[in-house]
Order: sequence, then structure tokens, then C-alpha cells
Amino acid sequence: MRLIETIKQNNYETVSIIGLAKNAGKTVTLNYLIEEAINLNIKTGITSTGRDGENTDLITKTQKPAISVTEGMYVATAKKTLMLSNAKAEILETTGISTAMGEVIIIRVRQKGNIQIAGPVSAKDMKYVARRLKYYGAEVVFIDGAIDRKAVSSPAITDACVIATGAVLSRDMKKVLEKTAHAVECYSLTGTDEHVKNIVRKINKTCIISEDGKTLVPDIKTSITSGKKISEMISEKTTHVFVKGAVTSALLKDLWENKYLRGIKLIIEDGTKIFTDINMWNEMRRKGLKVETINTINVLAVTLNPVSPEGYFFDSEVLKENMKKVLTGIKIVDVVSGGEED
Amino acid sequence: MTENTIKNVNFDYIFNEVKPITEYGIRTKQEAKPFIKGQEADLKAEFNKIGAFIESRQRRDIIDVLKHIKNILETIQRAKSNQVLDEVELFEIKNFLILVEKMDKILRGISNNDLKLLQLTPLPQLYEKLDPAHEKLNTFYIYDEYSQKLKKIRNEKRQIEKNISLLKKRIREEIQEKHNIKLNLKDEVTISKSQKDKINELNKEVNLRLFGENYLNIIYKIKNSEEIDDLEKRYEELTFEEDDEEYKIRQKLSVSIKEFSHILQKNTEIIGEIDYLIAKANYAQKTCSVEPEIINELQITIKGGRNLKLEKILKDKHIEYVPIDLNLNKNVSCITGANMGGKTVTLRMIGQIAAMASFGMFVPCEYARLCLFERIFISAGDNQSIEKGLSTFGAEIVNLKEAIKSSDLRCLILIDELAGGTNPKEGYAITKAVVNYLKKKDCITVLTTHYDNIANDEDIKNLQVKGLSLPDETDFSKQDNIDSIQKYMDYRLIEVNYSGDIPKDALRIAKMAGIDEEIIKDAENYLK
Repeated sequence: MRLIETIKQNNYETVSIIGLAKNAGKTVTLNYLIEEAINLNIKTGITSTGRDGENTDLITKTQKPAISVTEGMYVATAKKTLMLSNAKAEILETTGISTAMGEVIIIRVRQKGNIQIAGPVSAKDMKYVARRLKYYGAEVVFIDGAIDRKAVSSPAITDACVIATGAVLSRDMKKVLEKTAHAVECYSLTGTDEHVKNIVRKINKTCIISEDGKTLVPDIKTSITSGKKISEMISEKTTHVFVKGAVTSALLKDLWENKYLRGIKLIIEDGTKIFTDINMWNEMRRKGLKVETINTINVLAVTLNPVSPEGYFFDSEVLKENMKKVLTGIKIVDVVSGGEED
Repeated sequence: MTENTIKNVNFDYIFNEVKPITEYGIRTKQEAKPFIKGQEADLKAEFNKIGAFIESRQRRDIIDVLKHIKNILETIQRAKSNQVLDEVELFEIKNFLILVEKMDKILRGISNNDLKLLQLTPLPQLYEKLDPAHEKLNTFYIYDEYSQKLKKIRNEKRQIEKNISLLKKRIREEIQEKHNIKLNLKDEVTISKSQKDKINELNKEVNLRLFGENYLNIIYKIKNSEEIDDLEKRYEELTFEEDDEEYKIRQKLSVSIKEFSHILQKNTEIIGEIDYLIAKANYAQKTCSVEPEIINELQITIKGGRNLKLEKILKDKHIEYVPIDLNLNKNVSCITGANMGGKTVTLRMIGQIAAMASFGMFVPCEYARLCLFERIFISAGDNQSIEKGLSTFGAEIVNLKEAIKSSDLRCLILIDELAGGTNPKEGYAITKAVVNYLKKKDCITVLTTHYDNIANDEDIKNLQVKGLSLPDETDFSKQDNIDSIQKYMDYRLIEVNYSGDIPKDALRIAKMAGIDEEIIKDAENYLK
């Protein structure tokens, strides 16, 4: 089944596209999905997670490549990018959400063209925009996503996500495979029990939960440097440790020092919050580190870009075959050279 | 009112709670000036409007419209200075016109004469220009209907687009079939260098060009035919013409908007006024406030008056607020009575109610009847001047000087414990002299004092806090502390004829608060 059909069949209304690195082929993937949707007459809505400093990208014209949009599509983007677009737009709504590039405007494309997209920054605004795009008629909303250490990552607020990976990750194909497999493993972590979610959502801070449901909140500003403090508060009664924000190698190492940790579940916000050394992570997982998430991510497919902008590239067939071996049960699409087979 | 007074009567807190929705409403609120003596009729009209909104069922509907109104002042300004507005700005003007029409309809449905002055001016003639296709939608586009030329250009573009895609599809299919290859979405195909025959074959294909090469593969891409190249060139030209035509249309629309700019601006002002009035109506309802009766004579009568900030603080602590009645019908009134009897709170409450009324707000009482003032002063635990380095007494004197200076105008002067921090002999003398001075002025002066003999003057009204009412004199035990005094304190004011004695609850409070018995006994001895 083609990727777009899978999306439709599962009634996924919002799909984020995440690149594991710049130039991993995120835009190609997005354009590919749009093209596929057009072929099947599926109305799409597009937006992207905005980031600070996006305007520099506009000036240098290096990053953010334009997305090609066609008549009938819905787009939410900042006013400045809209004004630079050569697509003709019917203005549907001014959202009042402001970004570095101006207010986010919702449009319907009346005449095809190219457009750079800069959407809202916060999760709340993103949810609103996605809801409005659906309201105006988009059957599927694609979010050109970003993973973020601090903010809510786009995969955590969408129904499903597509991961773009490629040669740009490393000159060594093995490393590309390893990094991609690690990302997919993290993103695919299972959600924790409902009662733990409820406790964590109420506290919304790094905390230690014991078997009687009691919680301890360590006095720390960010979790990154506070592994030792958290570790000190873990006892034989602890059942879960929730870490808000990024999980780094240093933090994990400090936690691992605690002898009780092997019997405890480490709870994180979502799979995009893991920023650890891959070898260390793999070793701890082998030794019994249990990790669950508050927000689960539904990884739908991995797209490959065998070409790196630095000039080197992999044989796309070989890359695809090897990727299939490390990622079982996940659809793999080479969007650059061929797309999907029918 | 000075900044100081505004803070001291907690009017800053109250004004912050009045929350208009639109930027116009916020601006109206910011620019609001108090009504002063002589503007009684204007104030009455303001109250009537608020009353009309409180009673009107349509208030909800108006609020719903207000929530959608955006600030278009900058856009109007741009149109006025002959700038060409962009599509988003035209969209915002169109939406504004739709909302004005909607609100106008709602307002017309309210049959209240006082609101007749808040007349919006819908601009159907301008709206029509922004909806040439008569779609009646609140979206905007440079519609084909704007000009024949635009329509023609766009039709031609559409046709060319179709032709190009048809041609490309044909070439694509031809190539795929002829060479048995599959092109990707970008019309490219990657061929391994090991397929030498294929490469030789494709090199000869006129419709393909070499797009890229590496040590493994060669990438071919479809080459545009001359026909396609020509079509694309024409398409480009048309796009250029289209942009030009769209610019002219936007320019024309901007000129129309400029023509109506004064009406648009007037509408924003009226929306601001409505928004501010509704914010005040909402707050009046939330705080159970009533319309005060505004009179010309020098008088303040309050029944069940509340200090809203204190009420909120007490409510958070689950303590009930005791509303206060008072009638100030003489030029000078004294409030006397026990310490911790709420004298200062009452003083602030009087100031707060007078300030709210002067800003055209309903007041937190069961009933209020008062005149308008030209100035309101309060001197009560004035922190600001103290922060500047003045002593308590110094700050008092500065405030007093201000008040005395303005006392030829109609003022409300509220003084808490004048000269309370200085030696009693001089303090008494100053207070008495100030009272004597102010009782001849067209002002209402209220002062709290502990000095005997200030109110022994038939021109001066004496109000007394009822004070401690303990169930039994011997009943209070050691567990009682300073907090429990609230339980026994009756904050209500009673009018007393001057009796020479001021009740002395200070010692009893000290006793309840747990001051050493020996000290209390000693103090009692001195009182005898």
C-alpha cells in the first residue's frame, strides 16, 4: 500500500515530517506526499513548526526550500513568507498568532506556485492551526516538523510521523543505519500507564513516583545537569522516575549509578527528548533500562535520501536493502530516486 | 487623583479588572478621564449606557463580535498615505466591514435610547468592492471578477498549464515505453554505469539530457521540447502581466479605502467605546455593583459599601467582609474607634467608591448617593513618599499641603491619623486646625483620629466603629491571638453625638494578643 493510502486508511489527520538532520530530505518527502495526495484527490493542508532565526534562512535562501503547492491546497504560514510566494492565495483567516516572520495566515491556494512555510512555534498554536486547516477542508494536514529539546516536539502532537533520513547523516552507511535505527527505536517507545500519565501531567515537573503513588519533586531548574540530585531521591520504594525535557548522556549516567534504577521505569515526555550517546543507550537497554513515554509517537515510514549535499552518495538500492534489515515492520521509501512501487 | 491616591484607594487594582476585548476598547479605557463636578449629566448618560448593556440580552452577541475584531488602524493609516495594501490587509478591512455590519444589526435590536448615540456606520458600498463575486464569504482574493484583463490572463495561464502537463505526460510515457525505464516524480531516472547498452541508448534519446553523474550512476532528466519551452516562456510573461494587473486592482481598492478612511476610523472609535462600556458592565455585574445616584449637593451616602480589593483578599482566606453604611452630610467627618476597627479600610472604601463613580463605573454597594468631585486626595500609610526618603510625618505633610492647596475646588479629602506619629500635643493642635480650616470649604473631608476633642464641634460629624463585642469579658483565653480579634470586632459605624470619650479598646486588644499580664495591669493603673 502506498504511504498516502496508509495515512487515509488509518484516518490520520495530522502527519509530521521530521528530518534526522538538515538536508535529510524532509522537503523532498513533503513534496512527495503532496504529489501523492494530489494523485488521489486528497485535500491537504500544510504548515511547519517555526523556529527562531528562520528569517536568516530566507535571506541566505540556503535552508528551507520552497514547497510546491497547487490549487485547492490549504496552507498556514507567516505573512512575510506568504508575500514572497509566487502562488496565488485566497486569504481565509488571520490567526493572531505571531512569529518572527509575522502573523500566521491561513490561505487556500488559488493558483499553483512555490511557497516557503513558517508556521507557529508553540504546541498550542500548532494544534489550533492544524484544527483550522481541517475546518476549512484539509483532509490531511502535513506538518514540516522539528524536534525540540525544550518545547513539545511536533511528532508528539500529530497522529503520525514520517522520518526523513539519508546520506547526510554520515559518510559511513553503517552509521546512517545505526542513527536511523536508534531514532526509530526512541520514537517508537511505548506509552506508560494511564495513572502514571495522570500523576505526571498534574505535576508537570521532573519527579520521582513511589509505589504508594506519592511523588517527590527535586529542586532543580533543568534536568540536564541534575542527574545526581534525582538519583539521591530514588529509593527502594520508587517505581517511576519522570524526567521533563531532554535526556542526555550525563543525566542517564548519573541515574544509572543508582542501584535501584534497574527495577524502575524511566518516564520521558516523548521519544524525541532522547539525546544520548547511542552506544551507551544500547548498552543500558541491554542491561535492563526501561523507558516509557507520556506522549507516544506513531512512526509511519522512513524516507531515504541517498545523496548528501557534500557530494557523496550511496547506492540507493543498497541503502534501502540495508535499512530494511535494521528496521523491520516499517515502510521505507526512497523519495529521491523512485518513490514507492505500486 | 494623583498616582498615589489611585494606589491608596486601590483604584489601580479595580481599573485593571476592567478588561475590554479589542485594541480599540483598551485604547478607550487608557484614554478615559474622570467625570468631575459639572459633568453630572454626562456621567448619568454613561451610567444609562452601562445599565442598558447590563440589561440587554444581546450583550453576549456583541462580545462574540468584539472577539473577532482586529486592529486595522495601521492599515487605514497606510491607505491614507497612499500605500498599496496587500491581500492580507484587504482581507482585514473586508472582515472589519462584515463585523461592523453584524454589530450594527445587533445594536439596532436593542431598543434603548441611551445607546442610540453609539451609532456605527456600515459601509456596504465599500464592502461590495471587496466582494465583487458576491460570494458573501469572509475570505479575500484578487478575484477574476475584478477585471476582464485579469480573467483573460488567468484563463490563458490555466490553458497553458494544461497543455504543458499534457505534453510532458506524453513525452514521459513515450520515453518510459520506448526505453523500458521508470522516471521519478522529478522526471529523472538513475541508471547504473554497468548497464552500458542502456546508457548508449539513452544518450541518443533527444528528449533526455544528462542531469548528473557519479562513479556508480548516471542520472537523466527529461528535456523540455521547444514547444514546452515556448509555452513556459509565455506562462512566465503572463504571470508578470497578472502581477501587474493585480497590483493595479489593489491600488484601486486602496484608494477606495482611503476615501472611507474617516468613517472606518470613526467606527473603530465607537467600537472602542462599546467595548469599554461592556467591560464596565461585566465588571459591575461580577462585583454586584449598582448605579450610584449622582447629586449636586455636597454629600456621600453609602449603604453596604465594600472595598473590592480587601473583599477579594478576605474571600481568598474564607473570611467574610462586613459591608459598611455611612452618611457624610457635613463638610468634615471624623471616624473614631478601636484600633483594628477597620477605620483605614473604610476610608479607602469611600475613596474607592468616589473614584469608581467618577470614572463612570457602577459602585460596590447596595445603594450610593454622592456628588462629583474635582479632586480626590488620600493620605493613608503613604508608602511612595516614604520610599523617597520622607518620614511618615513628612509624607503626611506633603499630602496635606497638596490637598489644602486644592481645597478651593470641590475635593474629597481622606486623611488617616493625621499627625499620629508625632507628639500628641502638637499632633492634636495640627489636626484641630486643619479641621477648622477645611470645615469652611466646599469639600468633604473624612479623617480618622484617636485624639479626643477633635469632634467636639457641632459642625463636625462623628462616626464611631462599634468596636469589640466580646461574648464575656473573662472569656478570652490564651489561645486567642491577634487573628481572632476579627471574630469579635464589629466594624460597623454608628453616628454618635460627641461625648468627650473615645472608647479605648487598645488595651483589650493588647490583652487578647497575649501581652504580659504585668504590663496590662500597670497600664490599667495609669488609666485610673
